[in-house]
Amino acid sequence: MAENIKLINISNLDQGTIMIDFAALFLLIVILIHTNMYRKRSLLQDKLFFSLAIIDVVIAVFDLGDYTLRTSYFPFSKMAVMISEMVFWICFELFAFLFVLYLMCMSGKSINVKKNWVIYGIPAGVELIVIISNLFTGFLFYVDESNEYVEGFLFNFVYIGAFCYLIAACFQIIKISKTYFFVLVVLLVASMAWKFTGIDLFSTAFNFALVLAYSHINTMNDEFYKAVKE
Amino acid sequence: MILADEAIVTVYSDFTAILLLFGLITISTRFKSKINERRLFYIMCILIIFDSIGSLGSHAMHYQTAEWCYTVEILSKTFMEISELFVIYFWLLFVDYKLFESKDHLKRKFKGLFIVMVAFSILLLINPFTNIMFIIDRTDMWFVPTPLYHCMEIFEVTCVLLTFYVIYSYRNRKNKLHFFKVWPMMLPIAIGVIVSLITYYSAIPLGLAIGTLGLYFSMMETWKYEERDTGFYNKAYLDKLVDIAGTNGYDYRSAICIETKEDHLFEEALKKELPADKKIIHLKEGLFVFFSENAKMNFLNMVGQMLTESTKEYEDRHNNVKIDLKITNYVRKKDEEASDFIKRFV
Repeated sequence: MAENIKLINISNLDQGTIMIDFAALFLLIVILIHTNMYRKRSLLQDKLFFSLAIIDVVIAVFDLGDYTLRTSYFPFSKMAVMISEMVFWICFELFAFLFVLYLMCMSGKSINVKKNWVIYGIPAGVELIVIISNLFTGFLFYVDESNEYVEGFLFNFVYIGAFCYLIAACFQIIKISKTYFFVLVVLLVASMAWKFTGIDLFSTAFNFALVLAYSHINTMNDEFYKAVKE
Repeated sequence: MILADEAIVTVYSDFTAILLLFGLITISTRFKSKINERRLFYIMCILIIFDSIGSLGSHAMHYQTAEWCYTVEILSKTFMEISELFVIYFWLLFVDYKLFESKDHLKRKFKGLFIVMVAFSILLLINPFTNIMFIIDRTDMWFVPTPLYHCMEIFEVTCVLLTFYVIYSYRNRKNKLHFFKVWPMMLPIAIGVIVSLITYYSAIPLGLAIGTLGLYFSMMETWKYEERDTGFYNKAYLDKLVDIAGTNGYDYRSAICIETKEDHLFEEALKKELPADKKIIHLKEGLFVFFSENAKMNFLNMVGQMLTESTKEYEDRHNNVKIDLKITNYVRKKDEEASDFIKRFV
């Protein structure tokens, strides 16, 4: 009997991740629409916020592509998954880096950011080189002959840069608002707790979108509008 | 406990919904004010968190066979259904209050619906002992609705349709919803419902949460026209009025100016004694303006008298307090444009 082979065969959990990624995209569109006054005000932190939102859109789109193509049998899917993963991790590092710069601006250190952004960007720069070189080395991740995504022996290296930025972010957030810090810690702990259950369902894009939403709410607690040019 | 894949997806989606709203109500300092609109919104957020917790508990128990799972499932489902009922009712109240800005309007129009909602809530509460609303199958924890449950669904859909009717009736009076957008709330909910209908996963709490956040963001944009703590309109609103003056509902023909030296006390007196639907513009320290489409002197005198009496009542309640008011009426000239009339106060 002829076997019925589907070109795309997505598991239930991957369907879940795709659904949450779509939710993240929707949430990001809402954020982008309702933060148009940032673009009117156009301070450094506003530009950084806008960049963060765009990076998260890219993360969501490439995560969607990755999860859709991971179990597919298209001839190009192996290369597409590799590129999706690469773009995903590059954006992941960039998000962490720009988020720290954004927080520094929010705590009144815009001049410091303008002067020293290259120094602050060294961990992200190193990560970017390693991630791009992974296309040829496969040390971080690769896609095997049966089209399976496999983590390489250096995979945890992608978290090191983000971890450095996370620590820097914590110091900045406490200066801005203790409540904001508390909520972000709850988000981080809750996300990690979910990740440790071993269930393969997690949307980085949605978590980053939540971070951006919280940041926007925190900013709008202040009398923000006075500085906005109509 | 091993969860089925579709249960995991729904549990994760509910979990993200809880995180989203938890962040919103924790970070936002705007809920601390006593403005009714924000209170209604805050209650809605809490109810959606309850709904998500109920949904999470309920879906986590699918296909579980232990006796305690059955108890958790039925309690969670009851909790979720009651929360959903209240969310829909409060959404209707919120829309009406946001548009008509009147508590009396709410009491007059939705008292009947409140009684029906309470009746359904009681039926849901006694359901675990009677099974009159729904039955949970003990073998696979599957949900079986009864005809009465479908009646409740009809009631919920009616409430949603009523929100559109409220918007429609408001638009008949004032042709544009200048300070309120419905789509940020309704679109994600609609997507959540569609996803729940066409897939195995329930995305309604997540849709509700994203919708609530969208609505909050939309509300934030209108806050530039309001004073942070009192909810009175500010100077920016007057500039906005110049743009929209003359349109249906904003064709102002008269204005009442109130000058006082006891600015803060008068603010408090206005908030406590005036009906909630009277929106007043706080132009600057000690100067308040109230615009109206009615230019009859009788009406203007009546509003002036009401303001004086409100202040007097406040003075009586608070000994040793004296608020001096100077009230002046302005009427638009026959050949004067509405925007030019408002510009007089800019």
